[in-house]
Amino acid sequence: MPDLSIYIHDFINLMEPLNWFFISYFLLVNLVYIVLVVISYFYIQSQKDYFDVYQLTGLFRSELYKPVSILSPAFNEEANIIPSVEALLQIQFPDFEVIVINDGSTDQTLQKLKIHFELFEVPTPSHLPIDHKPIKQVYRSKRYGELIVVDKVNGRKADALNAGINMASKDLLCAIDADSILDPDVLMKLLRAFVENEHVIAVGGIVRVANGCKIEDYIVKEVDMPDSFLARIQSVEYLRAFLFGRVGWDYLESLLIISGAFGVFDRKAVLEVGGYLHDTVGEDMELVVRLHEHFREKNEKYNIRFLPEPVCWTEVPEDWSVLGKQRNRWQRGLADTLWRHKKMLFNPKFGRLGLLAMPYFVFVEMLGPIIELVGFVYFFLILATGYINSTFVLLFFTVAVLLGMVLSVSAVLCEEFTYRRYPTTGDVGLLTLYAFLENIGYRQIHTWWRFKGLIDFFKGNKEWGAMIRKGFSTTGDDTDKSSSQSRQPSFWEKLKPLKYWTVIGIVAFLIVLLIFKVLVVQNLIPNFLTMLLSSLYISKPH
Amino acid sequence: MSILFVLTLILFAVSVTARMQHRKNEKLAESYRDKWYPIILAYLNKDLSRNKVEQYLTDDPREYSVFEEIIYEMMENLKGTEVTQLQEVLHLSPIFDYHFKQLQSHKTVNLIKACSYFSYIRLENYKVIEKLKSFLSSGNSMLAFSAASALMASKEVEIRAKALRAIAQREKFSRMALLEMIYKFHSKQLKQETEESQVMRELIKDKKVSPVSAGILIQGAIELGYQDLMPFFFNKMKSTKYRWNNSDVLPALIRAQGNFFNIEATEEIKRHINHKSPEVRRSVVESLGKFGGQENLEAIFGLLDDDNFQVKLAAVTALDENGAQGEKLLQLSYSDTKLNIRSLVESL
Repeated sequence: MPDLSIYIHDFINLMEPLNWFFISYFLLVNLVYIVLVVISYFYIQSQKDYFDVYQLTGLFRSELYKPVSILSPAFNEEANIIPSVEALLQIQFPDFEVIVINDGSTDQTLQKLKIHFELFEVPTPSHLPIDHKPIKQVYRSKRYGELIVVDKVNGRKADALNAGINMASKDLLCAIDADSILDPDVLMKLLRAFVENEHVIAVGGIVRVANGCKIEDYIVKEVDMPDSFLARIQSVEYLRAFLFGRVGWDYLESLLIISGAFGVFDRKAVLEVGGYLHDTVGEDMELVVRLHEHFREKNEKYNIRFLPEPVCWTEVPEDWSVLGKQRNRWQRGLADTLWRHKKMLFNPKFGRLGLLAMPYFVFVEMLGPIIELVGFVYFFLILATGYINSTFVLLFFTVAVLLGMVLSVSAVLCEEFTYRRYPTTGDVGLLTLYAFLENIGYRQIHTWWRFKGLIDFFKGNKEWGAMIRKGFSTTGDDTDKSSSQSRQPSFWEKLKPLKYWTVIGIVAFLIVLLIFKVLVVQNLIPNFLTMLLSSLYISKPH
Repeated sequence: MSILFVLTLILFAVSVTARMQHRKNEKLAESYRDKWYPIILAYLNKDLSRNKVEQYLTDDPREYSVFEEIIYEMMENLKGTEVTQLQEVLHLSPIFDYHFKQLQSHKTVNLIKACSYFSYIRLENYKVIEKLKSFLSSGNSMLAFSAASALMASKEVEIRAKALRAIAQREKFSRMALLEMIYKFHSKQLKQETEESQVMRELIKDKKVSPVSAGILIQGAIELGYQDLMPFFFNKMKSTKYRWNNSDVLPALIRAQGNFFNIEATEEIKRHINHKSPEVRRSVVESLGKFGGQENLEAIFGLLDDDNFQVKLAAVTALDENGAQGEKLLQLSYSDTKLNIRSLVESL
């Protein structure tokens, strides 16, 4: 069997000329984030103060304000469908309709809806401007005039949303996931963006982690930190992604993503571009990019906004493999969208979008995992082989790991100075702790998932992947096992996360070793290891 | 490396300090709320005079903001004399002076906060009014909107008109923002409909107001029921000048005839039945539908095969709302299956 160390040394020697490339890449990426951090902080503060201006009083007496159609696609959601639709119907907004699209569920989703809401059949409209899989039947509710249920042949989320768009009769469309929980005042807050500027065609709100929160009647009553490691890490991730990423890009008028879990669109604009694309797994981002492309090409005034105040709560995966599949899908969706709209890249016709946002998304978000993965592997192999004092190791650790920690902690700080949704000081401490931990092992695993997603994209994989969720309880407990989770995992399945924990353990060990060595070299602490070894040597009988 | 370590620790420490400071502020606000609720209720019950209430105020701006929040909340939930009472107590000298000082600030946020306060009180102070007027031309559209909202608290139509004009003439605002301002411009209590409609007429004619905004102003006038503008709208509907005969203003003028039930305008409205703009055709259908009558309904019947879905839908709705006469015509259309009228009617 060949000696593995030879390969490792060959790999390290091969990578050595790229030392400065890796350091520059991580430095550049993190500098971009730092710029976004600064922009976002000031922008959120100003938005927070300014938006109170639009305390709308007269508008809702008029016929001309924009009413909203909420589109909620549902596939096998029998566990939560009733409370989630009930909660949607309680939203505070003067004129809205809820359209539930049963996307060919094979469980009791439709039956439950029929019984609970006393649905009756109505004719399917003949004028359907967007294509989608056939509608089997449209229903209305005897209990709620504003509820429409569309039963259609399964065609995935984008297809279901298109059916919903066809059925919608209001000016604005609010696309959500069936398991999204909206704050009751969310539409009122989002409407302000449309009041502020006539040319707004889409607005996204912040998505926060619902795991751990106290949920009653599908409304978040008390915000709390989740219990699991993965959900806590994702709480920090979501804060960073939304409070920095989206806010910063919004300020630069180059927002390319509105989360599929929650976004409001101008119906006319969506119809103009033909609705959601069917054959992609990143339909949310694709629609936003297509809207940009369409309106830029037509040279029409438009705005796509992100508001950090209106909140949508979502249940994040607490299982490693489910999370891995989700991130793989996100990466494929991103790559697919950027590939489809590649003509925008470096195209001055698209302004900041073509010259700044697209290059960033292509080279950092899409292709970044390749560089990051090779960089991390190289770094940890050097650490493992003992070359701890090299300049590269220290610089790489500083720009790739420490700077990442600073940015994550900044996200926590930004949350603290703005919305403060996590109620206790202990929560702030936990968020900060997880902002640290995120960079030790989890981030490297995340890079691997993204890398794998990119490879799968090149292979042409367009699978959605099963998203197993625990589901929300409506009685006050934070979680409840749904039918999809009723089977007990086998012993081997329980062992599966062990590989992830092993990676985290190794990364943590190597980083602690590095810090220890640095402190010893700097004479900040005595070299306990050498002392221990030498004492062992002395005590050993000759 | 160590710098980043220290920086991270500093950020954490700042987060925790901010949280502790926030906690402290929250407790203070809570204590102010506990203090003020009973005082304000006693004042509303006339157990305490306005001057007496003033004596309870300290010079802490945080207390003012809690005090104002309570008053705003109560104003939203109360009506009549109690609202006037609350407006008066909001006018207490220390609070007024504090916000008056805010009006001199260089920070837009402070100016907006001051505007918000002045939008709730009786706007009579000349200096405040002048200051607010100066903000109407601000480059910051949020400040301009806030100042206009505050000026709408004035009893004088002229002052409110200036604010409305400033918003109507600015392209930056959305239709919804302008409409919100139109509703704020109208005062139910003051009974100034004649003066208000006069202002609306001037604004609609104003060439500095874009056709889109003019259309919204007309819509606002219809919704607020300025009936005396009907002859003016009818005249302008007949005009061939671009100002009135464009796809933003003409539909609003036609809808005004329907909403004010000006049957005299029927023939003039029908003249636009084949207008190239679908929005105009839709407004024709809506107005004729409001008038009813065999001839008008037959004219609407002709638009059941309109290329534009919204026009077609409006035609179906208008016939459906016109009882037996409309029903007859709808029945006739069912024979032409290509039109799919039956499914449209059933989905209404």
